[in-house]
Amino acid sequence: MKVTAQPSADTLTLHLDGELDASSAILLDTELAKPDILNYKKVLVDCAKLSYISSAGLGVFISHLQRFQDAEVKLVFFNMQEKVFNVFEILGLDALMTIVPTEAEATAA
Amino acid sequence: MLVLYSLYRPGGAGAALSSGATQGLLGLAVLASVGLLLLVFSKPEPAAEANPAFSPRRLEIASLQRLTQTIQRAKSSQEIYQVLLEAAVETAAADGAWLALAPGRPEGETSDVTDQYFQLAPEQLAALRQGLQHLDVQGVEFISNNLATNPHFVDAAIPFQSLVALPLQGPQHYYGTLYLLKEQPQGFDHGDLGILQTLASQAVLSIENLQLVVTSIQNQRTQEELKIASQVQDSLIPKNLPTDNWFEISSHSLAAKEVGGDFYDFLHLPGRRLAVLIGDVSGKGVTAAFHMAQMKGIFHALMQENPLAKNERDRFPVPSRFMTQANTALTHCLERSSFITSTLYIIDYEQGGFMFARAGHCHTLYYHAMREEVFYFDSAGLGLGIIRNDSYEKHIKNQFYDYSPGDVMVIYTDGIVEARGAESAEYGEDRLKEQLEACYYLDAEEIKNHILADLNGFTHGFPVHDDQTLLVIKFKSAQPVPLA
Repeated sequence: MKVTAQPSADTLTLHLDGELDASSAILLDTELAKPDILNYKKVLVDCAKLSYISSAGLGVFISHLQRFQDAEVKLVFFNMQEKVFNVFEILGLDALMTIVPTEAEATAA
Repeated sequence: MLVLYSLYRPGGAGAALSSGATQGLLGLAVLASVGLLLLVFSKPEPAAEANPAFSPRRLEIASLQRLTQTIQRAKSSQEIYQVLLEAAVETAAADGAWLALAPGRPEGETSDVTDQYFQLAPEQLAALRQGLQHLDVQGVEFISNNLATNPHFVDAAIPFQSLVALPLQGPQHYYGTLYLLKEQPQGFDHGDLGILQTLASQAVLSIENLQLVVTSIQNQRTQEELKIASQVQDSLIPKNLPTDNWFEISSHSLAAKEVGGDFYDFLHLPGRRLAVLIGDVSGKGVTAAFHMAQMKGIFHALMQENPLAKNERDRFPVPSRFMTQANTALTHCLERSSFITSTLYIIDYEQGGFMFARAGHCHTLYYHAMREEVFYFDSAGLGLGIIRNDSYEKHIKNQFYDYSPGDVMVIYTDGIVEARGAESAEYGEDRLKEQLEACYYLDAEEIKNHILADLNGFTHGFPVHDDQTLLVIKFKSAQPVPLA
């Protein structure tokens, strides 16, 4: 699992590459837990290369959801593979989180 | 003694003798040297001073012996550091000493270890520390026999002229450095260093042995705890499945590790109704088992009859109400990154229907006998512990369904559909559906076995990553109760 952060003016894009499981969840959590992440208006998560997400991986996003909402930082997922989207959908997260097909839509969201 | 010693020397008295005589004399020499050792050990203090040639060796042996014996009894690294400092001071006849521990402590070492000192005033220590900082000798052996001329120590207000630094280096960890000091110059030679190295490596070995013991005790304790948790988890899974002539139930559960997060439970409700709960706690191990026990408690507590209910059907919470209440109850005890997926079914086999609410759990697989069709129930519903306020209610709903005899319901956890086979491929919902299409006409037990056989064929030779739970419920035409 690799997490690459790409900051621009008011948006931070996180590119996820690999399998997000219990061991790699710590890596992502460290990234999302940084205090200055709340200075951005939007955090876009590029899931193009995210091949698998476990419950521990979902737990990372869930645990920061409230914090992002309170700080009015938009969390938007894009380029999600169908298999990964299914995991979000079964858990009901598609109703809570913004998941869009493309980066253009994520930027516009 | 000096005469006997000379027998070893080539070209000495023994060299001119014949081989047979040499052997005899060598034997004598060996015997004599044993005697010499005995003599060394039994020698009283003043004699050692009288013969300084043997005193360092005597001290070396005695120190090593003491170190070894004490260290074997030592119960902490701290105790070993203390003994090492004392033994080193005694062996080298040092006037001052400091055992400086490295900042990063190895795993398994107790947190109460501290630096050790011998006859060092705080200001002397500060001066020494400052001088060493410039010298930068961390991790290397080092002797300075004339500190008065050393630019880093020339201004230091310390009464010492000689310094030896000895790192305590294990194969993987650097434990610290032992500094010994003497007041007179030329205080240490390479012979001293050799002896001190032996002491240091003995101490490092003992510290590492001690850590191995501590780690193995911890592992044993963890294993013990896992065993208990596993027993608790096992006792939470119902052993006797409900039986009735209106349905058949068959169940399977397999934990990936000692303790997993899958659970299921049944409860008979009055009015020929059966509540079936399945769930999966995120995470594994003792914490997951603990939350699973909580969920079971919540299930039994909430599924109590409400005597104030206005009509018969309100006496027990409907599934969506149950999930909302469970979500509230879990809010206070679930860590922020944990959640639970669950589905509650209330089967009314008098009315021939069931009601269920899916809280983020896997979709229910269903065989409809009259339409001869297999499908997944498609319904939205959020997992428990994700939203921790009243708005959860909006994210869960009930679904009703009338069943017919011959219908089959397959309830499972993600450990089944996410099981991995060759090239990390997942078993998947599609393959599970195909299996039910092929075996729906069998008994509940046979359907379960058919699915498991296919799953095991798919995952054969690959490790089980997640708990697997599978429940098969087959609805039947009511059979008359056989007369006894």
